[in-house]
Amino acid sequence: MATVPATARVTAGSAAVVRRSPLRLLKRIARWLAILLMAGTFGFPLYWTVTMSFKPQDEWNPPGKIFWFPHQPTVSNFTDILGIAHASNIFFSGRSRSALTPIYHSLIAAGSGTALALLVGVFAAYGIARFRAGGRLLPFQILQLRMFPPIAIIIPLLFMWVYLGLWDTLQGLIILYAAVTFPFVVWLMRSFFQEVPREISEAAIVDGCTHWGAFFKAVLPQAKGGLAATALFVFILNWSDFLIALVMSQDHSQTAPVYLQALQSGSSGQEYGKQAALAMILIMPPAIFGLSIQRYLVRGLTFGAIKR
Amino acid sequence: MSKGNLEGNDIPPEVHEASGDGSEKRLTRGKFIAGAGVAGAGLALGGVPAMAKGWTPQSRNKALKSGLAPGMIGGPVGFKGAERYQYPANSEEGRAILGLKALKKAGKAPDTLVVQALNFARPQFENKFPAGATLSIAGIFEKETGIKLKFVETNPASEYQTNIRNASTKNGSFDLVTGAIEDTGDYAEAGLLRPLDDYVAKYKPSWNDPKYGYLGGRPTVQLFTQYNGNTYWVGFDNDTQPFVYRSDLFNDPKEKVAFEDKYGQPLEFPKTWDDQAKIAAFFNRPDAPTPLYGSVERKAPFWGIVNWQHRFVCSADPNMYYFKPDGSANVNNTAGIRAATEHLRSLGWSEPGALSKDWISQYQTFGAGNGVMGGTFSNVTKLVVPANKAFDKGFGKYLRTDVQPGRMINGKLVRRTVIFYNISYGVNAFAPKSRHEAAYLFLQWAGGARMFTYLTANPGGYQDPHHTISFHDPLVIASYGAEPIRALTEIVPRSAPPIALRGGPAYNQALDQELQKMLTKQQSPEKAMANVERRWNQITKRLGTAKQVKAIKASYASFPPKGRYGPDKPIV
Amino acid sequence: MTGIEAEQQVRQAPRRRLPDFGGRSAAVVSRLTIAPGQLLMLFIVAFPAALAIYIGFTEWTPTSGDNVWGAYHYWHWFDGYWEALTSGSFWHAMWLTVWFTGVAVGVEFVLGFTLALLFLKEFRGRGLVTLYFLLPMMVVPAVSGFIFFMIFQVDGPLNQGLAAILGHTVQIQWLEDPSLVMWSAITVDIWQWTPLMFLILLSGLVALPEDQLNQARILGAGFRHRFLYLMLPMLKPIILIALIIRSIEVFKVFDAPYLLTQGGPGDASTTISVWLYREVIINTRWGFASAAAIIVLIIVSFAGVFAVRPIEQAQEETLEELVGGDTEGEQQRVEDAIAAEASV
Repeated sequence: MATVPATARVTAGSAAVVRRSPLRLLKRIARWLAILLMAGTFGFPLYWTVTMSFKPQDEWNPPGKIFWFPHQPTVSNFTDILGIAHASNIFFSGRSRSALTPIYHSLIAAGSGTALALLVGVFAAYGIARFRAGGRLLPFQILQLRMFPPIAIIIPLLFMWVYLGLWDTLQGLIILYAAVTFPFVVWLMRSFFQEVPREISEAAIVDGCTHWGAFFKAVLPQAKGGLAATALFVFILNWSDFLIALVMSQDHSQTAPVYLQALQSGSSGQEYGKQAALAMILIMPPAIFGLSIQRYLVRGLTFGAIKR
Repeated sequence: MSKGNLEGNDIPPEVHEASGDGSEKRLTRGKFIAGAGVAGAGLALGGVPAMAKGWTPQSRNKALKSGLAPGMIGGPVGFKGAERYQYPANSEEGRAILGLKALKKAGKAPDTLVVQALNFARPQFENKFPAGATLSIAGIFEKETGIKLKFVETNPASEYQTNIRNASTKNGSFDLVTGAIEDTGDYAEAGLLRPLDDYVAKYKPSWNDPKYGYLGGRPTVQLFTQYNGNTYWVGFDNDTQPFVYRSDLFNDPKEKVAFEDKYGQPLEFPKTWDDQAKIAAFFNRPDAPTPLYGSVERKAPFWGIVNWQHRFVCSADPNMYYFKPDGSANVNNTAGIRAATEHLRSLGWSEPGALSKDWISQYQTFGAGNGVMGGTFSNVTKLVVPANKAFDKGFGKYLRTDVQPGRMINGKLVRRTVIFYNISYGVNAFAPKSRHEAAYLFLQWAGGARMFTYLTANPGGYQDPHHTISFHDPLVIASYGAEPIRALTEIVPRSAPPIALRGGPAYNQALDQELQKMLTKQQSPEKAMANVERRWNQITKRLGTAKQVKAIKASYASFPPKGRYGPDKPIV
Repeated sequence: MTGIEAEQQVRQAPRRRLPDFGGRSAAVVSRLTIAPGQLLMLFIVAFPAALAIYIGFTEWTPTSGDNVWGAYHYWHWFDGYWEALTSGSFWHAMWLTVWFTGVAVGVEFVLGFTLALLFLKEFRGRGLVTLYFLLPMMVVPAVSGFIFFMIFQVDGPLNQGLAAILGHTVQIQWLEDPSLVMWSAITVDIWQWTPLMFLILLSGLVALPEDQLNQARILGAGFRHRFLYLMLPMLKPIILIALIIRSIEVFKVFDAPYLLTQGGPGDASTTISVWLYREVIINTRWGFASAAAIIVLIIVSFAGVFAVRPIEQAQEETLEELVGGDTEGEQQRVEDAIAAEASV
């Protein structure tokens, strides 16, 4: 990896100097075996999803038989989902609406919702971490937002959203997504901000920055790793939301998870292959997001010069 | 051309035959057409003499130009046999179209109707069928009335949520709402469904007509369209539950001898649930090279209750009702417990994992030859056919359907099937009032005998036929198979309703949960029925006993009437 | 602390290009940082909470034909609360939820921490392998439910895989056996959300000050002792936050039990969210469901107060030490670790 922090490299090197023995080799092997074992166990459902997305319908879930890999691989699940071509051997020919529009809605709603949650939450987190803003109770009150079972709160919200004209709009979803995930932004970012030594912001202020400047130029860069992890987590929560979108959208803002439901119920039965294909497609945005910020994720918080 | 009395509900068939005007009569020659197997020839022979009445040179020229048969004002064109689905002015479709045109002229019809549709409903409306057809059904509608159809999809799994949500917020964005029969009471009481009786009186759909109406007559119409004495739906499906079985096993001479040796009675399609149990036990061979499971019935959550209902409803003559006339639950009795016990026993003859298998798995089990028999949806024969390799593994051709087994009650064989998760359309009461009439007229048109036959002949969707003439239509028969269609004509008139009162989903869920507990050995059938009784009575009390009693009494009329018993012999 | 400082800053500021939005005053900044969040909370909570309390006192349902404003026609004071509090199914669901939460969060924590420790040391491709382990939580829960639905089938890959290993047919009823179904649902949650534990803990671990760990290592403290006496105490705040975030989320668990068995068989996997879902969506008792949800919120809030208090304390203590320059405390820890190692 190109971005190995210098300190880590030194650590590894010095450790190697301190202990170099057969025991150490064994430990390394054990460590790798453990990682491999976990990777295998956690990977199997993923493997099943990937292979399922390439299986034709009679290999999905035939009674008494099992297809460990696609015997007659096909991309028809993908083409059908994306509205490119409709598989002819599927009994209900023709899906009237492709997944593209719902995916677009999801991207907008989850992306903007995450951005809004971060915008609102990061400031609040800093205020709470640095200034104890809002008193001791505020963090808990914010967390309470997240404790309420969504199925119960969604009914009163529905009436409010209809009244405000926010129902079945992307704006409505964005506000809701921001509201339900910003507690996590506050809580995660608060702890990350608290780990940034106070001296950093104080030094910035001595250098002539305002509090805002200190926050943006000195503190926030130090919490990059935490911010990346938080953004990813919040985006995933919003991206995979089902219940809110189900109640709050109908036609103009239907999201991908709601669309997905069409593949698994009632008159269509279980369309495993297409569910898997859509799952593969839906895993892309968070995965790409994760990939683009992965160096922050594993590097975590870097204290730079002040690191002791 | 006006023959208003065609719509008379109580005209016996022979009177109707005589009084029908020419074009109507020509189209009723379905049996002849089916027998000939060649649609065009049948029409030519049957049609020419009868046409004379409404024939003029002008109408002929106009008709030829549009591709319509003489005397017809609309319908599909462009393929052989299209004439069967065309309609004259004094038919239910004709009245709907003329009504719409009048509304349009008066500026009272919308430019677009917004139709809520389940996934897989749309292809039958929007795809051209068969080869040569110039327009889809939606296209025909637009061409004839100038009104566009906009379909907005609702997932079957969230149809109830969506509709209750829209009712609670008085959302009028759909002109037409779609829903399952079990939810009828809730939708009606929530004010979502507009009562259609005034429009029915005004535009006279032929639902009760012996030829053009719903198969089985008035009880079927009540079953499909009514709640608490009012009309709320127009039927757009037929999910009566036939009993499917493997005819090759039943006709195998060796099996016949072996069965007779063992039970002292001949092996034939089970007329009673007792016989069904014997045959299921006899054929249950899970360890055979091709494993055989004696009773492949759905038992998964949500899907399973109908198999209890089949065994329950036939326990009295004419019917065992779910509720007593005083509103209390009628299940904690011999009939309920016996149905539950049989439901549980049948699990022993089911495929492994039956408790989490839906109908797709069931179809696959039948297609792979592992299922001996079991109740299922009427499109089983449409979907498990040799052409569909996803389901059929060489056994589809042996599958036959019949009315569910029954019970001997006072020397009479009562056989009943239950309609389950049947989808219909109604008019959204919260849509602007000015749009209601046009919305209803679309339903009368597309749900009319000719148009709906045409719609269901298209194998591209879930909607199944329920009009009498549909069962003689060559395209429908080609889609479903001749024997299953013949069987449906016996099944539909013997269909009992599910619980479609207000609180239907709650009642059904209570039943489902208690049966699930029983199937997973958490409680006995006796305990299950006692719990169902307790929970149903709680629900009834909560919703208001007096109000529920009224609807319960009204619902009795949608059960099969006395005298309508099951066939004594297998249908095919 | 900052009033005078701020004034000094103003005087020292070389030039001002942008309005500073009160950035010289800590009090103003403090208020401004939380203002948008508070507004958002007020917007999203005030009206719905009032409405939930209102219909919680009624037996209103949309199938009554009255709209929500007319709910008072069905006013019954605390009957709904009383019915929920005396309902066996409600407490059964609460108990299942607590059980589910405890097991799932516990296992996720152990697995996630183990994984994070395995990843602590740099190796080639660590970033990509990390991402691989994060994939499960990126799968939409509705899909993961159905993937496991297939895996848990009696003739599904899990049983067939076990059969291949054991050499005889295996027909474990993962979804149909009431005593197994909760474990199946918990498995789904563990698979999906261990990655989050891993992510949060790894972020915390890699941020630990390495010099101290190295110092302890060089001075001879073994891993076990470095872990117990250095890493765990230093990680305490982030561990507690990871635990509480997961607990809050798991407590609302819906997808896994609902998609696997619809909360069944019977009510064997009916967690509180599934229970509420049934009351709201299937029984359409919106008034009653609001009352029950308010009870749930009160219970969870009480539990939350007790859970959050140690976090607040731990966070302050540890951070004072870590950030506030309390190097003595850290030095003490290093010494503890070495001493413990020596005594073994």
